Amino acid sequence: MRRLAYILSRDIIHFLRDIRSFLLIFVSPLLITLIIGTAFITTGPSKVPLVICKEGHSEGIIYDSLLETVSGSNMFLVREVKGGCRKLIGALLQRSEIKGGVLVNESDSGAVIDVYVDNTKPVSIYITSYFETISNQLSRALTQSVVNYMIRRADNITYELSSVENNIEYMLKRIELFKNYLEDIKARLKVTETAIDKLYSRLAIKELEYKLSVVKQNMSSFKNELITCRDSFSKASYTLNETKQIMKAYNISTKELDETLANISTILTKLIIFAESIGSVEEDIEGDIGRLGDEMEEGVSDAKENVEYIYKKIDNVSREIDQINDNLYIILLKINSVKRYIELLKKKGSERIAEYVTFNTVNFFGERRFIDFVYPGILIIIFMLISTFLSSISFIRLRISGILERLKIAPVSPAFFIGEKLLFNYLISLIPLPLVIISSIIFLNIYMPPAMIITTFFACSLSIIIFVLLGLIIASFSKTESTTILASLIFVTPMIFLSGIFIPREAFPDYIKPVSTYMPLSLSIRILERFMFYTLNWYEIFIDIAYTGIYIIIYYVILYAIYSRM
Amino acid sequence: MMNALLHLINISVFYRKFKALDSFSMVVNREEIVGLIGHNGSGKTTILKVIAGIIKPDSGRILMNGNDVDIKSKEYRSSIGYSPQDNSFFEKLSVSENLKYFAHLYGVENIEDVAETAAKYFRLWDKKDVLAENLSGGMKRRLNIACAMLHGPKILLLDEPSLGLDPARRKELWELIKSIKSSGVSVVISTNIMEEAEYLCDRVIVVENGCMVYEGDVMNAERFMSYGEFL
Repeated sequence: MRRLAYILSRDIIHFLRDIRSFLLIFVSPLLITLIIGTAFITTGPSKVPLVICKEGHSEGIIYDSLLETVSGSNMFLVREVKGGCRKLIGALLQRSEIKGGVLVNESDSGAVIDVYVDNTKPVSIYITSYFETISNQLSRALTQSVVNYMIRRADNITYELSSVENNIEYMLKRIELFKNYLEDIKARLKVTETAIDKLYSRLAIKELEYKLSVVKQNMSSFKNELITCRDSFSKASYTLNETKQIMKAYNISTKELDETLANISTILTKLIIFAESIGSVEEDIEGDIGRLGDEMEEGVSDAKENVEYIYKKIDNVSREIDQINDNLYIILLKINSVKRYIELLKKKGSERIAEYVTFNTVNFFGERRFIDFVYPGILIIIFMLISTFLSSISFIRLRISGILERLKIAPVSPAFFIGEKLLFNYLISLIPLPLVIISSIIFLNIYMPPAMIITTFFACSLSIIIFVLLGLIIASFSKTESTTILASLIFVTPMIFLSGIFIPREAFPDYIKPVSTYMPLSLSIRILERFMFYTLNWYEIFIDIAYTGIYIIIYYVILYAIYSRM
Repeated sequence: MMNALLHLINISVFYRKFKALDSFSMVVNREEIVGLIGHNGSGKTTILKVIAGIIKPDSGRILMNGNDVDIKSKEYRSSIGYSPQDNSFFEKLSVSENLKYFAHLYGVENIEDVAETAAKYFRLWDKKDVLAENLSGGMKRRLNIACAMLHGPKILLLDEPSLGLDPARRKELWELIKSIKSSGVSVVISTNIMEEAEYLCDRVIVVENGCMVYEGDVMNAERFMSYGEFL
C-alpha cells in the first residue's frame, strides 16, 4: 500500500512539475466550463430566423395575432411576408436562411396552421415545441384579438351611431322647424285666402258694375242733358234765326247775332260730338263692366284653387314629415338598443369565442432520422479531433524524441517544414475517411450518392487542414503530451458544444452567436451541410470556404512566425 | 588562427533569468576534436545548441572561417551536423529509411549512394532494413551520429554520444568518431566521461556555470573540474 502511495504520489508530482500541464489541468476545465457555461447562460433559443407568411395580401385576424404573438417572443427574428408563401418558405429553408416558416392561408381561417421547420437543425425541436406551447396562448390571444377587434369595431359603430343619432336629432329639430314653417305657410295661406276673399269681397264686382252703371246712367243723363242742351241750343238758334230775319227786316245789324249764331252752331256741333263720345264711353263702360267681372271671377277662382292645391300638398308633406319623424324616432330607439347591446358585448368575457388554433409541424426535409441531420457535424467533429490531436501529439513526440531539433537545424525553410507537416498530418487524418463513409452508408444507412462523397471529401479536407494547423500551433507552445492534450481540449471542446450541431446556435447569447457561426468547426460543418441538405448555393458555399481560407492563412502565418523564430 | 574553423565570441544565453552561458568564447579548429567537459547543467549542451543554431544567443558573435554567420542560413546549417544526446530518429523506420529521410531533409544528392555509404561507414549495412527500435544501444548511437553526418558537415556536434553504452560499444563508437575526424571533420563533443575525453579530444574546455574555466589538454583539465561528477 505504501509502495502504491509512493509511486502514485511521484507520478502526480512528476505530472504537476510540468508547469504547463499543472496550469492546464486547472485552466483547461475552467476555461471549457466558462466558455460553454457562458454559451448556455441563456434560457432558450433566441432570434431564430422565422418567416410568417400569409397567402394573399389582405389583412387577417389570425395572421395579425400570430405575428403579434411570435414577434413578441424573443425567440424569433420574424420576417413577415405576404403571398407566394409555400415557394418562398421552401426556398429560404433550402438556402438555410430561415429555420422555420409559418403559413397562414389566404382566407385567414381554419384552426390548423402549417409550420415548416428545418428538421436538419436541432432548433426545429424548439420551434415545434414553441408552437405547441403557444397553441393555447395563441387561441386565447386570437380570441382576445377577435374580441378586441370586435370591440374596436363596436366602438367605431357606437361612435358612428352616436354621430347618426346626433344627425337624426338635428334632422328632427329641422323637421320640427320645417313643420313650423309649414304651419306658418298654412297660416299665411289662410291669411292670403282671407285676403283674397276680402279683396274679392272688397272689389265687389257688382258694386263696381253698379258704380259703372251709375256712371253710365250719369253719362246717359249727361248725354240727355247734352241732347236737351243741344235741343235748347237748336231752339235758341232757330229763334235767333227768326230774330235775325226780323232784324234783317228791320235792317238792324245782325252782325253780333251772326257771331252768336256761329258760336251756338259750334257749340252744337261740339255737343253732338261730345254726346256721341259719351255714348261711346257708355258703351265701353258697359263692355268693361262685363269683362272685368268675368276676369275677376276667373282670377279669384284660380287663386283659390291654387291655395287649395298648396293646402293639399302641405298636408301631404306634413303627413310625410310626420312619418319620417316617427321613423327617425324608431331609428333612434334602435340605435340606442344597438349601443346597449355593444356595451353588453364589450363587458362579456373572451372565453371560447375564437376557434382553437393548432399548429401542424411539417418537416421540410422529410421524415429523416436524427442521425441524418447530425451526420455532417459528427463527421467533421471526428476529423477535427483526429487532425487536431494527431498533429499536436505527433509534433510533441518529435519534440520529446529530439527529432524536432534535428528538423529545426536542417537547411529547410519554415514553409517547407510547415507544408510537410501539414501534408503529412492531412494525409494521415484522411486515411479513415473512406472507411467512415462506407461504414456510415452500410451501418447507419446514411444517404450518400457518389457526388456527395466527393463533396464530403472536400469539406473534410478543409476541416482537416484547419485543425492540423491548429494542432501544430498548440503543440508549438507545449512541451509534453499532457500539455498539448489539455490545450487542445480548450479549443476543441467548446467548438463541439458551440457548433450548433447538438445544441441550437439560437440558444446562445447574442455575443456568442457570431463566434459560433464563424468558428472553424461551424464553417466546415456548414459547408458539408450545404452540400448534403440544401440547394447548392455556390455563393454561400464560396463565402464559407473564403472564411475557412482566412483561418488557414491566419494559422499558417502564426505557424510561420513561430518556426521562423525557432 | 589560420586553422580556426569556428569562433564563438562572448556568447551569452539566458533561460528567462537563468544565465546558461556567460560571455562564453571558444574556437574550433579544423580536423580536431574539442571536448566540452563539465558536470550536468554546466552549459555544455547549450554551447552545442548555440553552435547548431537551435538556440539563438542573447549576445555575442559566431564566426565561421573568420566571418560572422547567420545561424539560420542554409550555408551555415549545411556545415553543421548535430547529434543530440537522445537517439533522435524514427523508431518505426528502418535504418535505411532513417538515413534516406535525413538525407532528403538536408538536400543531399545521390541519396541512395550516400545512405549506403553512411550505413556501411557506421557499420549498419547489415541492419539497413531493421527497424530502428530493434537496434542495439550501440547501433542506435551510430545511427544517431550517421543521421547527423549524411550531408557532409564541416563540424560534427556530439552531445554525450556514448551515454548508456557498455565499454565495448563505447570503444567502437570512439573509433568511429576518430575516423570521422580523420575524414576532415571537426568534432565538438560534450561529455562527462574523462576516459572519453582523454581518448578522443585534442583539446578540452571545462565549462562551469556557463563559463569557460579551462582550455587545454585533457591531462590538466581534471584540476579544474568539480569532484564526484566524472567517471
